[in-house]
Amino acid sequence: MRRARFYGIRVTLGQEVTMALLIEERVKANKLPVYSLAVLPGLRGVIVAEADVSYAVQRAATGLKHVRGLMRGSMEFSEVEKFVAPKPMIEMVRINDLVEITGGPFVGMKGRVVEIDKSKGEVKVEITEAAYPLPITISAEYLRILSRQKEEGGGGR
Amino acid sequence: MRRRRPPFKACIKCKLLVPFNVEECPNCGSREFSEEWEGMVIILDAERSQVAKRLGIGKPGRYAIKLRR
Repeated sequence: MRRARFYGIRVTLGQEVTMALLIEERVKANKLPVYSLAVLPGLRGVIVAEADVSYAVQRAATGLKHVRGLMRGSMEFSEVEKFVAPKPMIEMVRINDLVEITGGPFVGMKGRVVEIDKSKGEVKVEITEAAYPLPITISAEYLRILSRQKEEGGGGR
Repeated sequence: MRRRRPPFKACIKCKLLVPFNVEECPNCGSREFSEEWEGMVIILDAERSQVAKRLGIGKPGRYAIKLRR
C-alpha cells in the first residue's frame, strides 16, 4: 500500500489555524483524499497536509485568500513526527542550559536553569538580565532552550 | 503581541478541541478543559492517517498538540 506523504501549504503568518479550518471544510465538501491537516508549533506560516497525492492538497488549498502556495516537494512522516509529538520540555531541559521564558510575567527574559523538579514539571531559572541573582520557579512548558550546557568533565553519564 | 486565539478550548484528557460553550468533552466525557494550547491537528481520516496512529487518535476531529494547564 502506498504511504501518505506530507505537503506544506504556505499561508500568511498568524492565519495558520483559520486557514486550516477553511481547508478542512473544503476537503470535507469535495471529499478529497486528505487524511490530516496540522498546524505545528514552531513552524510558522505553514500548514502540513497528509495526503496520497499532491493534487488533493492543491485542490483543497488553492484560491483561498491567505494561501500563498504549496511548498515544493513532500516530506516523510519521520520529518513531521518531531513536531507532531514533541517531547515534553521537562525531559529535554538540563541544568545550566540557557533558556528563554516564553510565558508568564517574565516573558522574553533569558536565564540559566539551576534546578529541575520533574515530578512537578517545574524548573528554577536564574534570570541573567537581572542586576542581582533572581531565581524564579516556573513551569517547564514556558521555556525555550537557547543553548545547551556542555557536559562537564567530558565523561558524563 | 499575542495573537488572537480561535474559539476553542482543549480537553485536558484527550486534547480534543471544542467550542467554549461545550461543558463535557464529546470524545471522553471529561469536564476539564484548558484554554492554553498550542498547535492543532485536524484528523479527517483516522484509519489512514499516520499522524492519528502516532498520536493514538481513533476518531476524526480537531486536536491540540501541546497543552498547558
